[in-house]
Amino acid sequence: MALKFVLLVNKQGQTRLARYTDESLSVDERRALEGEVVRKCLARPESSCSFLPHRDYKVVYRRYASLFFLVGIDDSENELATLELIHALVETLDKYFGNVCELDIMFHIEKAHYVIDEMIMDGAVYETNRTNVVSPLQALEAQIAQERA
Amino acid sequence: MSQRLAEFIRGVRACRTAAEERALVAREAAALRTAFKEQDNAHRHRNVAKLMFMHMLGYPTHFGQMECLKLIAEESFADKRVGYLSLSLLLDERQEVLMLVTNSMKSDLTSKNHFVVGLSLCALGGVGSPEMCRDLASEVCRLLNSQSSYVRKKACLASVRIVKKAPDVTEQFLGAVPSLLNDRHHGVLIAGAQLALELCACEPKEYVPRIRKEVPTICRILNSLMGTGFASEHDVDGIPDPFLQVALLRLLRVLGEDDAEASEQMSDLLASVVSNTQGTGGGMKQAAYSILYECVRTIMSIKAASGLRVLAINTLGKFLGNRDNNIRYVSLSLLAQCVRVDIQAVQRHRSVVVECVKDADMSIRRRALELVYALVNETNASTLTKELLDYLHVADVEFKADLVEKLCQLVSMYAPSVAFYVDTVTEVMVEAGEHIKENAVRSLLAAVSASGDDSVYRHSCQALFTACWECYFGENRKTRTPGSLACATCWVLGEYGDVLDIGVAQANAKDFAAGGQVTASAAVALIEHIVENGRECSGALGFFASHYAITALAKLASRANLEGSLRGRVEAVLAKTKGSSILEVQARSVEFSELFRFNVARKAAFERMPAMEVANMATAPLEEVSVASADGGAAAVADLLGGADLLGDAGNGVGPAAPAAAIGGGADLLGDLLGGGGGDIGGMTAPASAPAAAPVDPLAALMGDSAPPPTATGLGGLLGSEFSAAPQMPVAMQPAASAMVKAFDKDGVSVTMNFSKAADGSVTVAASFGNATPSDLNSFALQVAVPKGITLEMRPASSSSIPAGSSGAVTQTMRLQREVMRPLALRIRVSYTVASTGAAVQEMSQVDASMLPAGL
Repeated sequence: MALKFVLLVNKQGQTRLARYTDESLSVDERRALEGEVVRKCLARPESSCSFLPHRDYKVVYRRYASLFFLVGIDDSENELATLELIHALVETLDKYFGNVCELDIMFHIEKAHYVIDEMIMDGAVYETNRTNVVSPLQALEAQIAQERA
Repeated sequence: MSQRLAEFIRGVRACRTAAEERALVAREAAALRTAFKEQDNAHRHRNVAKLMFMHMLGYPTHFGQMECLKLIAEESFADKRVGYLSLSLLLDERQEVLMLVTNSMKSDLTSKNHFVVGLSLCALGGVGSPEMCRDLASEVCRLLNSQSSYVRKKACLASVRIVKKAPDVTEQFLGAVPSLLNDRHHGVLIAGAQLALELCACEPKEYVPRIRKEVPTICRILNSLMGTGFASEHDVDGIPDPFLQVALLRLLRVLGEDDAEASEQMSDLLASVVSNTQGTGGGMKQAAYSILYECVRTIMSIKAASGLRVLAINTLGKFLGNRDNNIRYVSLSLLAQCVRVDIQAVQRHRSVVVECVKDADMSIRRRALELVYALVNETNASTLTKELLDYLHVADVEFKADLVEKLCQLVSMYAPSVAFYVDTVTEVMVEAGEHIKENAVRSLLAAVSASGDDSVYRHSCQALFTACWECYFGENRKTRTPGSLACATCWVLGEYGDVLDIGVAQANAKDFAAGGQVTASAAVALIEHIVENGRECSGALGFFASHYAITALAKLASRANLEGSLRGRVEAVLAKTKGSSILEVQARSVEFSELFRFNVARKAAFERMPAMEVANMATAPLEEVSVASADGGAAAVADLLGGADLLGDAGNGVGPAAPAAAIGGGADLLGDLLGGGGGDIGGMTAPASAPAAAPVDPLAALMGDSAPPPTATGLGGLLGSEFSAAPQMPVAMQPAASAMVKAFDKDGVSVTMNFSKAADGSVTVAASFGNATPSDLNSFALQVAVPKGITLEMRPASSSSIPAGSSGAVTQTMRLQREVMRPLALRIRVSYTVASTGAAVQEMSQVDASMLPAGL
């Protein structure tokens, strides 16, 4: 019952965001894993289904423009719901950044992480409603702005 | 002074080589170290953000860990936020630094500001170590009752972490589950379901029954979700919160497993989830499918009524017709799991599954093929095989190997007759011969050999000859004939060509009239053609084609009915190939030409092979073995079959040894054959043994002293001593057809089985029971299980009690009938009570193929 990692990788294979809950992986292993998975995804024809068995994971992926969203799950997880989650994540990022693109995520990577933190904790999904995710973030940012002023 | 974050990122992006990037990052890391050392508080925030970026790129960041802790201890929101994020990204529970942050986190958990509490909970949920979890457990538990749903849902997942890492403090969370499941907030409900799941996983025996009390509550939530009870803000494409439904269905699955009452409670609800979700019409969205998928998984795991299971499997069947390949994919994977639970219900969707084998998507094709494979049984084997064969003609090259392998395995197990087996594999070889594995060809030849039936031999000769001839000279001739086909054809024609009519001598294989009856003369012409053109065959076996061919020629020319007309021709070929540049062909030509000078030895050497053991065909799914028991103890059957592999040892015979394409391998195999089959048959059959394996060179030994035994000295000696006696030996060899086997012997109680083979191929087993103990044995019962494909008929035992000190006083007979040729193997269970002590005893044992003579 768990998501093992969330990866955002562009078509050139460069990682734009990585979040792991699988603590057994070292930094080097993570890099290797990212490389392998992305290569596999890129090699697949577009008509293929969105599921890819890799090592012990089932990788669910979807491409949005130039960016691949990849989520590694274990056997008990629901693949179709994971696809739905990816979509919810993209929509939420879109709402938060306002028409999100690869560069937004690259230059504001911490913000993207905040969004993920509001939706997933330790591999479990707990919030999927866009408003419920974005409004606390905006409220907190308002407080920070106040503090600065 | 360090640069800004955006500049750094831009710099990294601009790097053209990995070396450039490494240099840039190293420079920046050095700047960061200096900044950290100088306590540059003003830029700490952005420095830590840079660390996160470096970490993502895969560079070491351990030097900045202390900075994260300092940021967390700050009062400002902005610093705290970055601090906690970097904590969860850069550290994990194994770092000891984490201990230092526990106090800051504890005070943040009691903050009045919800966001600060939330940040602390997130970090705990993400990286909490066991010690930290234990220290903060009571604070987190208190937060489960917070006024704010924002805090409650995060506290729930932090609790999940605590349960996972510190199972000794879980009790307090169990009490919170009912109220969490009655929450109105979806986020809290999902998180609550996760907490319940984690508790179930951590203490299944104790907690599952307690959480099971919530089944009605969970059903109620799902029911109201389907109705109008909940806010529509969580809908996805018009489907009420699919994430929550999936989480709750998963929880139901854990609660319903192995519990009839809970399963009963949720049955109606699960049925209505299926029908309501499907009711959303033809244009169903993926969200709806994700719920149906989870629901089906739950139904298949709990103790559901068969009607509900059929509903679930039919739902999956409908998925298969969907245009979205993701949905077809999950359906196929789930159906494959359902096969174990209810194969009949899955069988109904067979035709759609077969269609999926032709899917445009490779991963779906693979899944479908595996499922088809799981669904095959004796009754549908011919139709399914035909479907797959038809598809083989149009399949992609990269898929052919998979398809060919499965097809061959399938027919080897389920072919209704050897003729069907031959026809199917022949077609496979013609179509995709270069993909076929050597062992598949070997299994085929073994099956032909084991049939012992002239009509099968004739059929095989005809089928293989025609196929091979077509490849060389037919209308749709191939540029390269598959090596597998050429080898199989040569072998079968060489072994069994004597069942064919001699026919009119043909100078050239080309002259054969397409579609005509194959004759021995035509066979020789074709084999000659292969001797000459063998090198052009394709595939892994292509190399061996001419070796097989030369042996086949020598064999044909040594058969009584063919010798007169073929001998001259074959000797001419051998004379020609003595100069062959292929070493193996040359060696054989020379050896065979020599042999042709000794008539008696030659005839013995080129005699037909004894029937091969079909051990390597024994790959049938073992859970499907059929069982018989004279006293019909049905309940006993299950554990009788459980565990060990009934045929596990059967593969030690010809199968595994043969692939070794080395001469040494062949000799080992011969040793096995002699050991297993009894020395008396060894002398006669050894010289030309192991035909399907690599070329064996024992013939040299037959030449007497002209060549030393090249491979196995044991073999050479055996042949040498038998050589002089050869003329007296019977020309035809009958494999041993009966055997006594001690099937069971323990604590003075024994079961001896006498196997004897009847003319019709059935085997009669006479079991006699011995009792060497001082006490009589009462209610003695023998139960026997046999592999699938063998039917067992058991007569009652002559008595159910065995007198003390008797041997053979009580007997029982049974009859084994093989539908498919495969090695015999029995698993037996003996149960009895000792009359003097009243103790009940139950013992198991097994008889496998290695204990029985090869001919049986």
